[in-house]
Amino acid sequence: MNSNSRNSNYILEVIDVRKRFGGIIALDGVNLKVKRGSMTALIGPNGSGKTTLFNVIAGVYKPDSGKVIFDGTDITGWPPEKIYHRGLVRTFQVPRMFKAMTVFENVLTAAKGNPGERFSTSPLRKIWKAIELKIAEKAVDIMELLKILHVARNLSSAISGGQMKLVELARGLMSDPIMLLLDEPAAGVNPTLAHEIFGFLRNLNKEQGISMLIIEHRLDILFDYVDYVYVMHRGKVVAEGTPKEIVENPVVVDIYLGEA
Amino acid sequence: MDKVGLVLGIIVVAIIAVFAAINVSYALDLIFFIAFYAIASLSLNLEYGYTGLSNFGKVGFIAVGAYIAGVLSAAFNVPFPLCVLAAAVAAAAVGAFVGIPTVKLREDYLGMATIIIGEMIRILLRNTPTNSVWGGVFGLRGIKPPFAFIKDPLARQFAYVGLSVFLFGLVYWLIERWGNSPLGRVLKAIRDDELAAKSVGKFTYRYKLLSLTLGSAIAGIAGALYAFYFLYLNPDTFIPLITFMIWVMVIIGGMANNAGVVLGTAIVILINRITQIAKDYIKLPLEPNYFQAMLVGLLIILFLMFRPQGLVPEKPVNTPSWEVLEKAEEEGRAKPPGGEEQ
Repeated sequence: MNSNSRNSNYILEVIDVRKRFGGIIALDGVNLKVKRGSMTALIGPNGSGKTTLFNVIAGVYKPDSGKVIFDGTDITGWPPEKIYHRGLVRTFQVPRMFKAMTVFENVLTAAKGNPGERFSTSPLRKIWKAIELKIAEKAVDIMELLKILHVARNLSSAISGGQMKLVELARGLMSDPIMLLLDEPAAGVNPTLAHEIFGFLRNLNKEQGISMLIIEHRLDILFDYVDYVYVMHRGKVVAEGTPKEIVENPVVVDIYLGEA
Repeated sequence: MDKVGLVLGIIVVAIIAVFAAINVSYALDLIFFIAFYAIASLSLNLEYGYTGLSNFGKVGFIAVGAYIAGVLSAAFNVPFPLCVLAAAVAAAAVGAFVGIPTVKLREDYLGMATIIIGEMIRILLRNTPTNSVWGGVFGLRGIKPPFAFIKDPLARQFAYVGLSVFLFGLVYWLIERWGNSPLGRVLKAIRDDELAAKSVGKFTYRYKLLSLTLGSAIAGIAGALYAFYFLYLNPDTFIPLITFMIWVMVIIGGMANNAGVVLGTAIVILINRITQIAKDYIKLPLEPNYFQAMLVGLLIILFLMFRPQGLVPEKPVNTPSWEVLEKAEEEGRAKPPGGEEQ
């Protein structure tokens, strides 16, 4: 990545973002920063606004006020497709598959810059064949890495929930992202696989320098891997720090125990 | 193509051959209708089967094409190929105009909006003065036959039906190419989950608008072919029932499968024709036209219940990418993770 070409230390800055749905204040002035090249976690009890914040960052919702700065660019209010091309990719809490298509097609679809995706050029194979083959090689490599190559021919609606999570991740990686927003990447998978997924994410983060912001509820697993943690409660960031600091933070303990 | 499709396809061809043996002109008429409706149902397949756009105003776009081509020929003596081109362009323009505000709508609301637009076009054509260039409620006469120089009527019909089949072939080739390319994947992705498609960087609004515009252009071509076959147009030909028949063809044939849609088209038309003939020989306790509609309605219910994928189900998008996957599998890279059953 061109990490040195930008002057800021932070890949993502969320500045005083507010969002309300009718009478419900989902985000009440959220501020957070993700260090370039870091793996940062976003935790908090159900309904604290984590997924809403993701939706605002990724362009699904427009914030009522506040700013989202990504890699030095103000992306506030951009549509999701434009944000994707800028290099910020998100996955969903409940995997969203292209369900009548195979896993392989799901992954291929996410590639950037395929000239065969135009109405004008798609009838002429000569124009896009070479790039399509390259994209397919890349898709196969990514699927092999994520251990979903053996289900490549399955319909994406006919694989396990954990595999769907991996297909989403594979789609995200097809675009060589600068940053990933991962909404519960290990939800609904067994602890062994969860460790495997986080280990894999950590490798990606270290080897390819992809920054990550991760929502996750399974703190025991999460805290082994991340650099920094933000804690949300009732639409606000209430605590931040290293995993060790967070574990010892009385505010956080209070929120989690209070909820339980 | 799979077995069901192949067997039914052979049966369809055999039935047409039987008709041809009895009456060549009737068989040609039948083939024309299949080609005309197939072009229309293929355009709906592009819009709905691939892109998920529920266009319930298809007949309106056919009417635009038919009337533009008809008026240009009848009133301005424009030659046939230019009329067809103008029909496509005009229908595309109407498609884009309609699409700009409506393709953002959810599937059901888009269906409502387009059914109204289809009816508006018919009502507009019908409720204009009869001395207007398209004749209002009296209809449009005087469309010049493109093969007027052929004196033998059967040969002339043969030439025109042949041309229609050729145009159908072009449309089929084009949509098949669109479908089996990276574009086909994008359209299906939008159909399956638009937000996910946006999240992997697809400009879905643009694709949906283009799909509706190009689908309308193709429907316009079908309309032009209709105009030059009958040489007379009446607004009340273009009723919503035509749209529904086209939907039945796509549902029965198999969405996002062009061969299936053509097969579905031929089957629906043959059912219509055969029941039309049968009503001269069989006495029914009810009006045969209603019986026909009931039969088609029953067919939809049965298909939606027992074979929602249609006669010929959707296939994966066929691009050279599969060769890469095949090679990787041969190299033994596609092993399931060790220790787990899969």
